[in-house]
Amino acid sequence: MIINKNNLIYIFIITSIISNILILNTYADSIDKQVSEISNELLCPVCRGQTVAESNSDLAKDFKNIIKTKLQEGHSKDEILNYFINSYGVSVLSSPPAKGFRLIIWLLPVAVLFFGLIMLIRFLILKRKIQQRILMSNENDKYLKEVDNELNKLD
Amino acid sequence: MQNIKTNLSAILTFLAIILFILVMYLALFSKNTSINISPLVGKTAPSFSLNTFDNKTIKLQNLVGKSVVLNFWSSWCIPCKDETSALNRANIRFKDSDIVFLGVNIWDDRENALTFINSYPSDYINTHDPLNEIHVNYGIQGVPETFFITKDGNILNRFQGELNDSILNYYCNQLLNNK
Repeated sequence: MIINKNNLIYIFIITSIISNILILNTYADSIDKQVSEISNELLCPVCRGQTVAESNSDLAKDFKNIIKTKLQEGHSKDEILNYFINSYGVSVLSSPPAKGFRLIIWLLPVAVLFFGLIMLIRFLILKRKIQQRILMSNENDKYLKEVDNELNKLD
Repeated sequence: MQNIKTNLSAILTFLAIILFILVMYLALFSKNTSINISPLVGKTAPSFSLNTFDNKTIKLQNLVGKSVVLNFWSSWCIPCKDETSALNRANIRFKDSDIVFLGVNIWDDRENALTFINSYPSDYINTHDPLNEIHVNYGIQGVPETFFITKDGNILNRFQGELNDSILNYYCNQLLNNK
């Protein structure tokens, strides 16, 4: 097979086009993935309990477009999240940061669990003690009955 | 020893009840600041470059030295129709007070917006954002929503919902009294 200069140029052009398409696709996929990731970390302000990723509202669509534009402009994830926090407040985040008063949201379930566990252990210990006392009092009754019987026999 | 244990148990139970009541109170009665108070209040107003419907550009930086009433509206929004007359009246009342009234059309298409403007004519300038970003920059959650920007470019207040004469008087006078 003879490969002349023209064929080499064609091969080079075709290879370049294919590699460029692949690179662009990968880039688009990566941007879409990041848009989805950031959208999941933001709550849609006009929806109840839905993240921007889950919502189809106009505002959520605007959020997604802005996230995409900002990513393409080279902004980092934190910069984009801060941009939304500046406009909508920290409550726009789907997971509130564990700082200040919001720390309670994170600590309260652990505290309740811990307190519940202590109460359960105390309850089990108390139950065991009561059972032991009942058992002991039954044994004492048995002994007293025997003493009564013996005394009756003496009479 | 037994007494100490009993006391400790009583204190723990009491604390748990107090904590539960506190959490329930905060959940039920505390104001949701994310809805009522904009985090932008007291801060520098986000800059904007808006287009009028006859393609002129209005930038916030060109309005320095003037207070701005920035009203976000949509053609499909019924309270937006109802508040237009109040905005017109306020625009006339505060004409000599260096307060600029600006309408910003969002979540709309151009034709519907123009039909709205023809049906409910306003004396103040109506605009739209070609970048479709201003409403997110201002943390808009619905229409109508209005921002009151001081002469030095800070956000003095935000009002969510339909405006009327007394509300506009209140906020515009606040703008005038702000130094």
